[in-house]
Amino acid sequence: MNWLRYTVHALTRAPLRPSLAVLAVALAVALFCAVSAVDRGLDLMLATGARSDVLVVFDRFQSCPPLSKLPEAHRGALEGMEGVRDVTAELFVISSCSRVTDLVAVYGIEPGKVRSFRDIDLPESEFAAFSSERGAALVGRRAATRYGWKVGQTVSLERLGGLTFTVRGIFTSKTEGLESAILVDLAYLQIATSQPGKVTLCHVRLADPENGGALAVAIDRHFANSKSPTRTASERAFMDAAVSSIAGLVEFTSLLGYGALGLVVAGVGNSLSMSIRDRTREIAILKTLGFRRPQVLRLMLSEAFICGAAGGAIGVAAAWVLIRATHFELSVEGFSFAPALSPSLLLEAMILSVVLATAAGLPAALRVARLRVVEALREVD
Amino acid sequence: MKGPVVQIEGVHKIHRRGPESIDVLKGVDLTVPEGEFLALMGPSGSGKTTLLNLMAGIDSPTSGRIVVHGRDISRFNEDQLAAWRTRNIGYIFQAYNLVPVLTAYENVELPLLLLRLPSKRRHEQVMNALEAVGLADRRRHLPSQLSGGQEQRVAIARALAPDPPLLLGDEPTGNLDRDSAGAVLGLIGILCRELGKTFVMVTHDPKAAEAADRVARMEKGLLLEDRAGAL
Repeated sequence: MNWLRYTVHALTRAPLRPSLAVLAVALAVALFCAVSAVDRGLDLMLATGARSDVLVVFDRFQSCPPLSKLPEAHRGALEGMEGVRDVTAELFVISSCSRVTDLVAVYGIEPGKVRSFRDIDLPESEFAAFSSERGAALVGRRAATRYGWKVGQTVSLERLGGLTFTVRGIFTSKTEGLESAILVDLAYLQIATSQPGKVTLCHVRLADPENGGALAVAIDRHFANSKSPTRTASERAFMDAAVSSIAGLVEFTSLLGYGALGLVVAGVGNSLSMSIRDRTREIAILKTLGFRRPQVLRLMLSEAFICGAAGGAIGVAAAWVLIRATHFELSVEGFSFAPALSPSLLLEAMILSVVLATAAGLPAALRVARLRVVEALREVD
Repeated sequence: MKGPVVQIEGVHKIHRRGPESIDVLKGVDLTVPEGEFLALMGPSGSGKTTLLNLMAGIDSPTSGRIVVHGRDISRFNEDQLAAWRTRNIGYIFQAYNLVPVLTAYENVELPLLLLRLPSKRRHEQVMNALEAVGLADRRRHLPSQLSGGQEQRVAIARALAPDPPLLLGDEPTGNLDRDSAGAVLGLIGILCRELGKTFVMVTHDPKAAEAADRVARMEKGLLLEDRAGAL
C-alpha cells in the first residue's frame, strides 16, 4: 500500500460525495473552457483577420457591413488615387445581421484578386476550375465539414433565396473565420441577389502602410459629396467596430467563466470538510499511530488534489468534445469565429482546477491537522 | 530485576473546560518494569485513561515527569511525540479502530509506512505480526468481514508491527464477549512473555485484570492500591 492508495480508499468509501464534488468541478471547468475558448476565438479572429496594409471602405451610414452598399464604380475611383497600390471589391450576403450560431456567409469576390487579398490555400487545379466557371464556389474547410459538402456538389441555399453554386474547391486559411465562408464570383452574386453594380465594401491595399490614416481621410473626403459617401478605416478598426456588439458580451461571459471556477472551491471545500468531519476518529487514530501534522495535511490535501484533477480532466474533455462535436461557431456582422480551445487553455484550466481544489481543501485540512488526538477522540466519543 | 520502561513522577493533569477546572490526576507516581503486564483499574472518571494517554504521548501532563525508556516525553512537542510514538508505542483501543476501507494487511501496514522501510521488510513485519495473532490467512479481509475478536487481533497486530517496546491498551476487551476477551488477553500475555513487551492495560473488568502480572487501582485521580495479579 502507499499514500495514494489510502487516499483513493478514503475517497471511495462514500463515493457519492466526492463524485458530486468531481461533477461540480467538471461542470465549472467545462464552462470555463467553453467561454474562455469563445473569448480567445474572437481575439484570434481579430489578430489574424486584420492586415496592417489594408483599408476598408464602406457605406458611411451603415455600421453593419452586410447592409453597406456602395456603387461598384467606387473601385475605379479608388484605383486612381495616390497612395493606393491595389483595390478589390466584395459583396457579401449572410442569412442575418444579428448573432446566430448557424450562419451561412457568402462572399462575392473578384477571382483574379482574391489570392492577393485573402489568405486561402487550395490546389491550383481547384482554383482554376473555380475561376473558369461562373456559378462555381470555393468553400472553406470548416463550412464544408459542417455541411458535408464535397467538391463537385451543387448546393442551393434556401435561406439566401435559392442561391445555387457548384463547389469547385475547398480551401484552408490561417485567417480565423474565413474557413467558414463561401466564395463565389462577384458578378454572379450581384445577379443572383439582384444587386447589379453594388458591392458591400472595397479593400484598399496601401502603397505605404504608414500612410493609412492620411489616405483614409483622403478617400472619405473624395466621396463626401457623392451619392454614396464612404467611411474608411483600418481593417482592425473596421473589425473592432463590427464585432463591438458581441465583444462586450464575450468579455462578460469570460468573467462568468472565472466565476464558475468558484464552484470548484465550493464543491471540493464542502466535500472535504464533510468527509473530515465524518472521519475525525480515524484521523485521531492515524495520529495515535504516529502520523504527524504535515503527513495528515498531505493526506487530506491529496484528496482535494485528486478531486480537482479528476474534475478538471473530465471538464476539459467535455469542453473539447462539446466544441468539436457541435462545430460551434459564432458570427456577428458577417464575421465568423470558432472557439479557440488551444492546448494552453486546456492546460490553464487543469492547473486552475487543481490549484483551486487544493486551496479549497486547505482550511479543513489545516483544522484537522492541528486537532489534538485526545480532543479528537473525546469529540467523537 | 529488569529496569523500568515507564517512570511517572508527581504527574498532575488538569482539564480546563471554560471557567471550570477538573483535577483529573492529582500527583501520580508509577513505575512499570520491562516485560510487565500491568492492569490499571478503577471507576469511570478515576483518571486511568488519562494516565494511559500520558504514557502514550497523546496527551501532556500539567506538571510532573513521564519518562519512557529513559526519555522525558513530557518535554516533547506534538510532532516530536508523534514521531516518538511510531517507534515506541503500540496502542490498542477498545473499539478496535481499524480503518474500515483497508484490509487487515493494510491496517497492520499503516504504521510501518511512517518508518520508510523497504517494501520487502515491511511485508515481513506485517506478516510476522499477523501470524503472531493467528490471522495471516485473513489478511485480505476487510474489518467488516471479521468478527469482533478477529478485529481486535488485527488491532493488536497493528500495534505489534513496528516492534515497539511498550504496548498500551484502553479497555482492549471491553467490546468482546467473555470467550473472545479471554482469548485476546491470553494472546497478549503470551506475546509479552515471548516478545519481551511491556503492556499496560486499562480495564473495568476484574476478570480481565486477573490476566495481568500486577494490578494498580485508581480513584479520583490518585493511585490507591498496587498489588500483584493472578499470574
